[in-house]
Amino acid sequence: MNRHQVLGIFERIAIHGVLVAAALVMLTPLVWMISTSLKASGHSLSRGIEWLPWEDIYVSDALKTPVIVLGARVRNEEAGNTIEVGIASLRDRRRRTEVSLPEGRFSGEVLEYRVRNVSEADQTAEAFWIPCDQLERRIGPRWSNYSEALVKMRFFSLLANTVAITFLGTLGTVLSCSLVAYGFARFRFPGRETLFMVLLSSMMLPPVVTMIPVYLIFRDLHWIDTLLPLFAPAWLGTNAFNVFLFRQFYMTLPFDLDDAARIDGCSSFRIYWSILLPLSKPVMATVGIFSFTGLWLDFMGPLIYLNSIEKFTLSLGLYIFKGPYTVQWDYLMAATLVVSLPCIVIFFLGQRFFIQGTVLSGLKA
Amino acid sequence: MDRESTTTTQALLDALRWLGYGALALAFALSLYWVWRTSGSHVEKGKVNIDFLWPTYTPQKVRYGEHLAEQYMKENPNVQVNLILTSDPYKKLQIMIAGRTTPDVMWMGIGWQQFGDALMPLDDLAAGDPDIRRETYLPGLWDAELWQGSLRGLPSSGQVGVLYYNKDLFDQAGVPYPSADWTWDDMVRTAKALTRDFDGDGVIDQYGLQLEQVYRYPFVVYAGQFADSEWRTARIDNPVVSAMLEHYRDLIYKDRVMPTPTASAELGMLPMFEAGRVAMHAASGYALESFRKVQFDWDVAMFPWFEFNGQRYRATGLWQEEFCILWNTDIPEEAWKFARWCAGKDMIRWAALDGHIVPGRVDVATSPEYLAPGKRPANMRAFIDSQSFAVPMTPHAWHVRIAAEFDPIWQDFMQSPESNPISAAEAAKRFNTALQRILDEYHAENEPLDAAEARP
Repeated sequence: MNRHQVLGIFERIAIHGVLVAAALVMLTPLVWMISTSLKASGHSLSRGIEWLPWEDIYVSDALKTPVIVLGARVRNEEAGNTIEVGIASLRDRRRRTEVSLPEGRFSGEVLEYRVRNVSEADQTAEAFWIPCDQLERRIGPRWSNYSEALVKMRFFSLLANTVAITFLGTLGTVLSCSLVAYGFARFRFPGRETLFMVLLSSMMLPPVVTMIPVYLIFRDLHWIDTLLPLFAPAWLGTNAFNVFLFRQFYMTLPFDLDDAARIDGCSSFRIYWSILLPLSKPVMATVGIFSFTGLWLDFMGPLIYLNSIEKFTLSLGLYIFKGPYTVQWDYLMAATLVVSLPCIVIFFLGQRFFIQGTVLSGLKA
Repeated sequence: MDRESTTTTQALLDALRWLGYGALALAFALSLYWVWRTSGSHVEKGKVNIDFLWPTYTPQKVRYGEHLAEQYMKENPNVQVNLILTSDPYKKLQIMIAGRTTPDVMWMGIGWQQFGDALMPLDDLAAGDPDIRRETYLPGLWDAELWQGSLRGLPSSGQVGVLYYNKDLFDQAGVPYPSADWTWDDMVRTAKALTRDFDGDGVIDQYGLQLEQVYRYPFVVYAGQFADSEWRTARIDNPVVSAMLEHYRDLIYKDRVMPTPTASAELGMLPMFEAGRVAMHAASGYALESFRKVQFDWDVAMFPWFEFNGQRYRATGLWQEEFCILWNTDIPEEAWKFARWCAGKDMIRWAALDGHIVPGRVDVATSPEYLAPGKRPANMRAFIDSQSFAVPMTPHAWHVRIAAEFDPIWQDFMQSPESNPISAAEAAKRFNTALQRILDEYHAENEPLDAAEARP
């Protein structure tokens, strides 16, 4: 192995090291979300970051009772006396550990723990002392957070609404935007460029400006508190950004394809349906993923148009755990993880097309 | 590959493609069916339909709203209550007003005055009802429901700020629990004993105290009121307020017993107390529901007395919740019956005992079953006793503007010492100037209206 090859190996190791480190940093919020979703209420912001959902168990006469540890009785080995301290003063749960107090630190031996039974039913339970060796610490993920969160947010009803809206909206967006873009890309007609600019300029309008007028339109159509306003506009080719993506892609395809098809007797729609659309898989995947995530996670639309909880979408349902002052982190993280899973899966499935589509349509991924 | 296998492969691919088309068509049909199924209207012909707007702040809050609707329909079979749920009731109401699809009755909370013009005056309706009068409610609640002199809401909840404290942390530190007559100095001394840097890394791991940012205005006026009783002359610029402000800022930068506003915002205020990282936490009754789930022992105490020049001062914030009727309802009488029923003794009692609200009615709030519920906190009385010195959090019709003008002053004042913050006296002066300007403009705009209303 020559010097260049050795250097190359080191270079690769360094690059991968940096990439892995960056990936770990990016994954940290996801890991925290999973970790928090498995913790008991109130443990999400324990001192420092505890990545694992620990659980304390009091073992007595073959009975195992979950407890919360409040403090300990510790013998100061240097001073020879025994004192009571809060649990946060202990460095770890080992029998011999370091104890931090305002007046200084010392190493000590834990003799007893002060604990209270974990029970939501009995909120007035008294604390009691147990011998040090009768306390076990184990990893105790609260899987019930998931079932409880999903029940509280009425998950399956919300899921059905979200799936229906997302499916119909994504399908409508892909079909209508590709058709509109076909017109702009493959036909010459007076005012084409001006119309296209008008379409693009609609992207510059902040959604808040059109919120009320659009609400009035749907009110007059009697569509308030129905799912229709959330997906029906997608069938009208109204998303300028997606039209732009399709148009850019179509413009990279040679006109010879259209000419050859015409000679064979194809109509304009047939050319679009049988030739251009099958060639557009990358951009269809790109638009599909954008549209899917946009509709799946849309909050403002459902907030405005939906009134009844049985018609809510998942993104709206998540807010049931977040009030103006309170956040139920354990439930919120459990529900958020479940809600975001389809987006992650869809992205991984369509990743190859997505990257190809963004490159071919001139976008930077 | 021979011709036969090519043909077979092609046939398989075709079959798969058609299967895909079929699945797509089926999904399309099912989705359309679901949309059609959920698009039915709640409006029931032949019944009185009441649209009722309600927030979805927590699953328990949703249950409260649903219980009201279901129970009322059970008791009144000729009425259909259409529950409109939203995570942002004020934004929703703004859009509904613009779209002229306003509900008939709605829940309102802090900041309700911004919709004062859209709410129906209830004075005439209340005049014929012996149960709807000032004495029915805890002190301050009735006045907090007035808009331009008339009653616009029926109070359900009167939440005042109290100090929640973690008894286990107090026990560990060996400091006495807060008493009913403790002082600001007692509070600071206790908070210092409870503020800990366990690992000695210079970062505080456990704070003694946390006073929410929303408390800043009661603290600004700890010494009294924002303005005179007529709301014409601002009364913030005085030595007591300056001293109060200075003490408040010292909690963060001098005594170092309270997290900075940024740290509080990042970590969330209730979760820090729930995690045992804050020993004393100022909040109103809305925190009860959340804190009752934590496993450590805790209780509540009234805010401390602030002593200055031999005088004692005390204040806290008052958040009221109420049922309001929208001005343009088509069914004012039915809407009144429903709102009246929601705010009546039976439903308030149910909501209070079920842990949804701190009751605004005196009879429920002082009942033994509410004060000794067999669950934390033991000192429920603190909520009731604190009403006597509570200041409404939205005291004036233009509170949104007041808050908007106060915020930059507050930020200039609450800077760390290295950032050269303005002095407490300067802050009090600026608060006063800003408030006086707003009051002058308010009266200039509303004076003609008031005069016109006064004419026979």
